[in-house]
Amino acid sequence: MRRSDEPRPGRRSTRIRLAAALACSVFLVMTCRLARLQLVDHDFYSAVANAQHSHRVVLEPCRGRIYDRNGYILAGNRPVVTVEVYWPNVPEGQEAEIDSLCMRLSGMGAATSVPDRTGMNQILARDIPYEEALPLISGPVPRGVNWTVGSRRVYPLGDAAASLVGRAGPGGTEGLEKEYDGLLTGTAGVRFVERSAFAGMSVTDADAENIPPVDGADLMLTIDSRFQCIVQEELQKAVEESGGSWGAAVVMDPWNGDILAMGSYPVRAPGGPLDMNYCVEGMTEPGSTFKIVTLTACLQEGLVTPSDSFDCSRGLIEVADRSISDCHEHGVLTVDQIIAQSSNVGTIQMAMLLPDSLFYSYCLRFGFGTPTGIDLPGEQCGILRDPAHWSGLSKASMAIGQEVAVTPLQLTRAFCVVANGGILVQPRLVAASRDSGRWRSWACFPLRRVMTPQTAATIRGILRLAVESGTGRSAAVDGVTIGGKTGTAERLGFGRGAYLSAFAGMVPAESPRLVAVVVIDRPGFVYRFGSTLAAPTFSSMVSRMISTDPDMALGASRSDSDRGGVALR
Amino acid sequence: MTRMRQALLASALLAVALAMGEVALHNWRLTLALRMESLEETRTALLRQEEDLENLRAFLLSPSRLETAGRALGLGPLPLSRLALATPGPAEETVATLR
Repeated sequence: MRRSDEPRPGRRSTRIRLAAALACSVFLVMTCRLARLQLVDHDFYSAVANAQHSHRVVLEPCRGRIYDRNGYILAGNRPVVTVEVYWPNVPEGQEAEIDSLCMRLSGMGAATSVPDRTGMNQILARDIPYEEALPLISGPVPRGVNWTVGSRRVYPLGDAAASLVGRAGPGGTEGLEKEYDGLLTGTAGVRFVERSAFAGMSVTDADAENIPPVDGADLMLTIDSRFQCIVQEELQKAVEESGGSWGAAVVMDPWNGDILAMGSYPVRAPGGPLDMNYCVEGMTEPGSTFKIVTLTACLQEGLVTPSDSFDCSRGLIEVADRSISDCHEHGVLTVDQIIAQSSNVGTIQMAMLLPDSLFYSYCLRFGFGTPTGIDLPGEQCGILRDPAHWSGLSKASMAIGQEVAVTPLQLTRAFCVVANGGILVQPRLVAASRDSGRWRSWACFPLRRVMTPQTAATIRGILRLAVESGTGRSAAVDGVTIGGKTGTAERLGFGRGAYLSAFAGMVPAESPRLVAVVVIDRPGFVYRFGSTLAAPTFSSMVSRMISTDPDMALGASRSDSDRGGVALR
Repeated sequence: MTRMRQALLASALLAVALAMGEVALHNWRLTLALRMESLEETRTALLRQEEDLENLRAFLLSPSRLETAGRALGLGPLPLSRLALATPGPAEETVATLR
């Protein structure tokens, strides 16, 4: 018997149908909604979700290091920490923790700023050495405080190579750092990180397009840091003692154009920024050091031989209604004595044997009037006027190094021609670069032949005579043969009594291993001659360099000559 | 009917097992990722310390610093008059003294 409160089968079936229809409708709605979320709006919601739990981190590349030829670091990177606070994330009443953090930071010697809640984001301290900041950043930091590790450039030699290597920092780049900035900088990478909502954990999203940073290339220079320190110290001493306005010195391997040292003083301009590199930017009259051009032209063209004599007994010569004199009367001098005694009168007589165009072409062949092409910014090309713009006095003046302006580097390169047997080489500062872990040598190459090896050997003999018994005696170095030429030039445009003291020499004289030039501008009057200031400075530099590396006194080996331009004919 | 129930039960068990496997796999991947992250951080920290030490080494080996320290200890370079150079070659050319 059926109970009266039980629904009849027909009614129950209707209810079930209704419930099923309702469930189907709900399911249909949910399916439609799901389809919309997953198919239609997928990209939008996916991006929103990604933005919430994933973020993009830019990975800074490591700037390439700069080494000297022996692997000594000239420019490296120092990791530094910057600590900042985002005030909206600092809970009210917890400012004391920030104050305490600042006290700890100032205890590390970092430049800190006073916490100031008025802004949003504040840098509390920057450039804290990583080692010192490590205990701080490895522990818990107050809420709202964040730290980042960056890097700053360091120069272990200090200012000794600053005018050459330059500087890279927030204030800009200079020197080699500027010249090779693109190579040293590298390429930034990117990493996508997924972050947990509460635990503060983060992991790299392996499925994202993570790009590792590419570090900048390392550079190995031709510089020898030992020589660089010696050159810079001696130059500073000479400029300060003589009261000169600036000084420059270049030491170069004559066989392959490698710059072994390049000193420039003062290094810094008043106020702190780097001063210009006077080796490539300081143009001056070369004085008597330029006489090698006149001598080369006359010897190479067969117009004179070393034993030919010229009458210099009057002590002066008249050219275009002007008279040019020697320091004292010499009498009759042979060609080698003219150079050794640095006679202006004799040199001008030799120059008069040369046609203007021929003399000018020898100036060009030595590389004067054009930049050397060294890899440093701001190189000057000097002043060398063509014969169409010469006065009647020009050739005579140029023959003794006036009416022409050269850089110390151009002068060094010209003496390298004599040292290596007559080849003009391209000076270079970078010997190799390291990219992706592999060192690659950079080519050195000769440019052109200027004179025959026989002429070069004759001139080397004459330059040796100049040091042994001529004006360059103060450049002599105990036990080593030196060949060289003094130079004393009037500095036009700076009033009376402004001179340039210069000396260019090679070591050892017979088969030179290095060529060095010392130039000091506008020293005190008693120091004005090349023989009283630049030559003794050269001597001090060279004797210290040989003490440091006695191989330099042995002369060029066969491998040296093989490296250089002797392949040219 | 019994067979159908058994099939349903087996499917449900399989689904649960698969889900638990997925959870376990996910956890394992996460653990590895965290370990990788930690190793990466250690590597970065060590590289930074290496960089610091190399800079310190360069400062200590600075030629001018070494020379100053050497001179203070009486170990400056020899005067050239006390220096002799030897070069390989025939006996009579072997020793070339600077003075």
